[in-house]
Amino acid sequence: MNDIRKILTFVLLFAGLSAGAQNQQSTGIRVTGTVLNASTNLPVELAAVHCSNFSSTFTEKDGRFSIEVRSKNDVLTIRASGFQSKDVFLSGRETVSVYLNQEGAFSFQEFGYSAFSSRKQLYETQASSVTHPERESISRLSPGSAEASFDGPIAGLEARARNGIKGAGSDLFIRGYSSIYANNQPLVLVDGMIYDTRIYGSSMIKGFRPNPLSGIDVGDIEHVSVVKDALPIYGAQASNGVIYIRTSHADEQATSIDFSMNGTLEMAPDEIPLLGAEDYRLFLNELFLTKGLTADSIASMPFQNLDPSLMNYPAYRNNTDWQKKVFADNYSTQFRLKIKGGDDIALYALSIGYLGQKGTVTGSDHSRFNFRFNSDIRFSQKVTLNANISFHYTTKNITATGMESPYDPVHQARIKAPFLQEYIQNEQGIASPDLSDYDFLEVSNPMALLRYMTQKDINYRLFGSFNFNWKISKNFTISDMVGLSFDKTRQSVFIPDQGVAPDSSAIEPITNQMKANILRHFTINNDLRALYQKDLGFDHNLSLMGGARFSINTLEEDWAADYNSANDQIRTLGNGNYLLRQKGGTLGDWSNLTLYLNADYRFKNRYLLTLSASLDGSSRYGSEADGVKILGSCFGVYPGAALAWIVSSEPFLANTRAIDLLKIRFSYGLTGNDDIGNYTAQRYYVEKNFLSYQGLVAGNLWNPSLGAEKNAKMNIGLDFSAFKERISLTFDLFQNQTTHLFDYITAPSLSGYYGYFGNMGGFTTRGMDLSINARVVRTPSIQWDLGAVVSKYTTRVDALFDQSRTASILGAEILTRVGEPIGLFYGYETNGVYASDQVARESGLLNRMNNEQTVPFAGGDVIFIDHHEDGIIDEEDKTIIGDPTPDFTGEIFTRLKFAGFTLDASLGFSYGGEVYNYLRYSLENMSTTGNQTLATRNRWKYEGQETRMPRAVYGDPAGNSRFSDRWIEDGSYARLKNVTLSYRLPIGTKLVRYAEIYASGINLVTLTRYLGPDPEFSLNGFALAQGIDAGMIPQNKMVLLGIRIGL
Amino acid sequence: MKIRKLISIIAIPAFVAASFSSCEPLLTPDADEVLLPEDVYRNIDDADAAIRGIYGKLMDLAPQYIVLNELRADLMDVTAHADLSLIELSEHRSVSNDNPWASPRLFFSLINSCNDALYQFGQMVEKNRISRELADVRYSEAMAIRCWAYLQVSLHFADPEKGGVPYITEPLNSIESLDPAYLEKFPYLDLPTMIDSLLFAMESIPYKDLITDEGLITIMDGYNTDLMYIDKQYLLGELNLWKGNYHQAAVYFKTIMERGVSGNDLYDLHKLPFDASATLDVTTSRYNSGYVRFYNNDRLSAKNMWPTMFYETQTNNYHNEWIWVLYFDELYEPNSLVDLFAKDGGSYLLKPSNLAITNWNKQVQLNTFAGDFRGYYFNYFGLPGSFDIVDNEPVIMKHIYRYSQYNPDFNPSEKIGKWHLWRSGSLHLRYSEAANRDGQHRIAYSILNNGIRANYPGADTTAAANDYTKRQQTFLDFPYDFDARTTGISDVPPNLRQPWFRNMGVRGRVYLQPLEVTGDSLTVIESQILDECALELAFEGQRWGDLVRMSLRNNNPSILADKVAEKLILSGKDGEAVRQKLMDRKNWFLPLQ
Repeated sequence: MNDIRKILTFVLLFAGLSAGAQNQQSTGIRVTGTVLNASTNLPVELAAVHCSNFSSTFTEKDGRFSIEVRSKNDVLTIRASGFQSKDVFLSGRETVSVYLNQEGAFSFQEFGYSAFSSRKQLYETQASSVTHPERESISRLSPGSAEASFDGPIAGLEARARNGIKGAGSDLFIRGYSSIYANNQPLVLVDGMIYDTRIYGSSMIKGFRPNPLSGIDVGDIEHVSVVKDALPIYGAQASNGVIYIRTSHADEQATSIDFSMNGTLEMAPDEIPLLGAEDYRLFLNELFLTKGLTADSIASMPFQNLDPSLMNYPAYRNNTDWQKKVFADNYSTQFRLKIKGGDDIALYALSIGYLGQKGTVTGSDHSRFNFRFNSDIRFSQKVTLNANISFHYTTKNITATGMESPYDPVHQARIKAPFLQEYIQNEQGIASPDLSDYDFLEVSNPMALLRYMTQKDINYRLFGSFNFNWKISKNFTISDMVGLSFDKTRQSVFIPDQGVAPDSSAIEPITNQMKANILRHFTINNDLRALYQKDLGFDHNLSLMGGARFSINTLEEDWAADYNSANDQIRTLGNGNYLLRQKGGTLGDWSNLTLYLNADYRFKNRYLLTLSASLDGSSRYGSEADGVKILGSCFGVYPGAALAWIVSSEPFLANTRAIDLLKIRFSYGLTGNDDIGNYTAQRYYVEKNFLSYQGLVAGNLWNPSLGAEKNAKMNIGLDFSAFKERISLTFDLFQNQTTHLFDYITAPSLSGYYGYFGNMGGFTTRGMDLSINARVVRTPSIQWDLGAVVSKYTTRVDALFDQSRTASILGAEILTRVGEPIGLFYGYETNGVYASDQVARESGLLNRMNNEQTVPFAGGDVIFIDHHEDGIIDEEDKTIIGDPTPDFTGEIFTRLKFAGFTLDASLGFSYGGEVYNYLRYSLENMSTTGNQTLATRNRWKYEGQETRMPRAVYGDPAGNSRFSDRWIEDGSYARLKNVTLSYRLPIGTKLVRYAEIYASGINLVTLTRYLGPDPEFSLNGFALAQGIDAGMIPQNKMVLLGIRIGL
Repeated sequence: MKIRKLISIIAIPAFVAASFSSCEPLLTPDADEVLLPEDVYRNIDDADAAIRGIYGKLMDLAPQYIVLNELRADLMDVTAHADLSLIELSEHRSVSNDNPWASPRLFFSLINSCNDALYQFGQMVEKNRISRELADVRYSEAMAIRCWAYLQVSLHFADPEKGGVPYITEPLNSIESLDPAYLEKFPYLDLPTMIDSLLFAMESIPYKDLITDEGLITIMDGYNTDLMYIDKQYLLGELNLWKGNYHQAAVYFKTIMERGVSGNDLYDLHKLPFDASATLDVTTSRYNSGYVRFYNNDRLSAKNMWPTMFYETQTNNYHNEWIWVLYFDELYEPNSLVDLFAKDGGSYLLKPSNLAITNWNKQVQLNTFAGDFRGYYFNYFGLPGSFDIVDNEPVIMKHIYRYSQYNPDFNPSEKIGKWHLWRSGSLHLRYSEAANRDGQHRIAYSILNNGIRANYPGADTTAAANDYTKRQQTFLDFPYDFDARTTGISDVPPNLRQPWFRNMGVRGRVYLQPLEVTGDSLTVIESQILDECALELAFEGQRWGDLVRMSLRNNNPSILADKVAEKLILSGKDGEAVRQKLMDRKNWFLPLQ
């Protein structure tokens, strides 16, 4: 207690002492100038010109003004209605020409908001980007979760869509990864409070991940700032960057009402080309022969029945396009109502929204109700309150995720025999209305799954904060934010018996399944801080902030799974076979306390310095973790500094009219990652049962020095803007170095443990971000903006306790090795297929089988490259066969405005990343009886056949489909993410402020050579699982029509 | 001043929640999911929980214990379904790094739990959390399990450089205890030195009797716990036998044999009694195999009751036979033995070796029929034996009788079963081995073959035929005192039933002819005992230890090497190379890694 108080007292006393009254005396220095409209070069009348709070004036009719300033190095701020406000550095000049740009264009004169403060980008010392989704572009108001508001225009931030399930959202990566085994998602703050986007618990729905950001309506987001370099004040939570989201606030007292609605046509995705009935029949025939069945026994199988007079002949003579059956076009709708207003005591912004999305898989949907009430209340001159309360309620019916499973209709549709159909047919082939059961190949009836299966996810979150501000003096404010977040997710799953292939279990075959879970996460936050701001003379600007932030989290998850109830009508837990019943849960408690300090200092308006530091403590850290000890707990130390030099305000450049801004930035700081598990760093005991009696045994090999991962971020950047801000450019070079990597370190067997968690190893990410914005055409009637962002990064593993290892994910081996990038695909290299047995024999190569025997290859086997050159194809021949990290990613966006019309478009691209197409592997390995892709028609069938597709062999004894470069593809793509044309109706009455109609096309065109259904996907947020396409539901094309009305 | 006050107003409430009390660290995990050290070892219930945790971990060892002790020896072989990890053990190849069967980790995990409990029990007594008496019982239990585990580790593993295994006697709780400087204080002991240490540790425990404590002796899920706890006297007997303290070993084993004090227990408990009722009733069979009364020459009248000891639970017969047995229940962890052995419901990875089958088939019964009830002996009244023939393939049944068609309540989804460790059969063979080495060849012979009564017709052959005062007794001091008299009304003394009158020997119980001893009694009988162990205890996880013990005692590695080589040769493998390899004692041990 005492130590914390001491620190705070020190901060506050220091702030208090330096607070002194400022004398306002006449200086006699006058500056004259002209304010002009940048697009027309016409003077701007009645523009307000300020020199801090020292003096102010307005421009004349001819745009001229004259104002007294404190120094020739002072700053003038010019504001005019309809224009961006502008800060102008005098830099010794006595006469200035100021060109004002219309609102809406990119400018460094824009404000950027952080948790509790805002400042112009101009003065930013760090690598941060800002976007204003609410104001800038309705195109970004497409239905979707919050990340849609900043996906695209921010260099260095990649929002990789997880899949095409509605509301599934994106995994966010700011400048790649900071961790291998811990969380890689950035810290998100909504109106100053941490909005936890981590996914807790385990989903009962295979292949589905909840998306906390889907609770925030894009339309509620007013402003987003993304900080990509180190923000040490967030300590061990900021290693993946920070995203500040500011939701709608009222800034004027007049009441305004905005209503919008839109409808979307969701278009079913393209089908994967699969074998038709006849091709599939041939394939099956061939496969059964290799299984050792005789030709006679195959011929007697019902699907081979050639005699129409025989029973069941018609039932096996269909040609069903199963993919068409599970995917369908659908519709989504969305409504939003926003009311803003207030009086001189309180301003409020209320928004209510409803979103009802239907997915492209039949029966799937996502609906959301969201409510937000933000108010700013002035109790007195000195005491104010910002209250932000939001609530959302979402429900999702997930009929399919596309993941390999006998319960996934999409996966089953991909492998289901096309000669069957979904209804029970009689001997004449006439279909009954009853759905057929699973077939003789143990493939479920996808239609039965769609009809009888339930997979539901319900989530709500109450998220609210009260931020009290007490302005003690003109320069000194004390604030305290109290907030809470209550998040609850409920999932219920029922997988029917009817029509579904039984799964095996250790005990008995599984018929139907009932599963449910409930997850509650409760967080209390408190952020107490003191802010001191002062201009010490006109050359020195100082802003000091010190505070303490803590959060207390409790999490509880309970789940149960029950199997084999008497029939599909009995769907409640507790009615299954008691031997198969499973239940479990998680209880988590953790708390953080972060003490932080931030100092911004500006000298002569050219030299900017930010110093910040925090002490970050967490209940998760071990008792001997790195850092300082306060009251028995370990606090990590996170310092940082950022410098910037506004070169353009130096006198030698001030008169260069072409350059509006030239700023060089440098920052270095430490952050960390506390995602190390709640109790991993404690010594603990766990239950060990002895029959039904509970025993207790030591649970871990305790590592008391386990603490946060460390991440040191260095950034060098350049902000440049020229030609009356017609072109702006930001370029950053960065290096992020992760050390103290959170890892599971193997322990010697005599400890009795497999290993322990420790901080060993690390890696470095280096890269660059480039962002260019240009106003190509700037006439009063036509404005055309064009922008592009490009970013690139590479990783390199610096150290690992075991130097090298591989992880296995869906058959892929992912290599982590010192000196190499993270997440490499490690497998066999191939070179076609042996045309004949003789060619195979002549190669002299032997194939090492699972039981260690070596056998020669045969005709139709894949030619594997013998890298180890011992004549045997085995583990030793594996090599790096791909790198999922793209060479660069980015987006090009444009906006054309003319005569009430606005055309927006954005094109996202990713180049050079490689993808493990697991879906193609599972549909092209020709070793199981499931349907295969059309490409397998070229499979090797006879001696001497030259082809690149190997033979079909049941069970694949030769390992032709092992993890090799056969399954690695170029994942480059360019996607027209959005094209929107909107038209503002020419009505402007007192009743209706505006009315706008618009039409969007989303994901309309994708250029790629990738063979899978969608080149943009994310299996999960972990560094090692990138570039693995498990066959998730692809994102679909959408056409949206909408209307907005302002009252 | 004003500011200072203000800070107090705002700051204090803000931090109260984070630091509930001033003596605790500021940020303490409020652990609900796990138990922190302060939440355990608080009272007697926690002490019992520690013992149960140890036994829970012991259960995890069942499959590895059987695989290491049997597959590496001569009686068990791999099937075509086995993978490389099992083949490596069976054929004594060098093991791959990731061979799960060749990792001592689970043994050390158990040892570590024992060490933790041993340390904490001491602390509990010091802090007056439990009484010395209650602590002693639990301390001795944990120590016995630790010694058992160390005996197993030492039998199978040795550090390739230092030799032997480290004798770690303190809990390794944190990574600091992995520091080589800390680990240095635990010496690496080879098998004989380890046995010295274990013997010393076991002789020093304060409580060597059976547990009677209410907290531990109870009924769990319908199973009596009395047979689940390790028999410390048996372990002491074993360790003494390993050490060469034959007399002392005999003392411990004989003490167990004499546990029956009244009623039928006096004659039946751990005494290998004969089937006094001679009916077809399993419940009274005392696991005697043979033929229906008066149909001794009818092959179809064979009744094989001996295997029912692996099938039954909780009967009188069962309690007379079993000393240490643990249960797999359908409600808890799956019974991994099913996977190893069963053909239906399992993966059928292991089977009896051709050598084991040959051993049984060459036995001769009292009626001169060939074959052994303990191998595979088809019959209508009992069970087939240690293995069964399913679809012309031999399937080891000892571990899976409960999970087989022989169980009328068989439910394929209920993977129930038992882990068989010690029983009267092994007790008598061990005792016989100790007695033989202690110079009591006749006693050893009697126990091994057809019982005391048959082998002690009388010291005084001149005495009257009905005078039993000088007959059917050994007239030796404990532990070699046996009185097997049963007399009629006209005998002297009349109507006498002495405790050992029902004993019929290991071979006698399964209707086998007694063996002939020609040559040096000591070595011949010892070799016969080793062979009998193969017949009686096959697949129960005793074999490797038996081979190693005999080889070490006789300083003759070929005892072990020949048997393993023969197994491989009979299965068509390169047994000669393995024989050469195993002639070097160093190659008996898997690398400790």
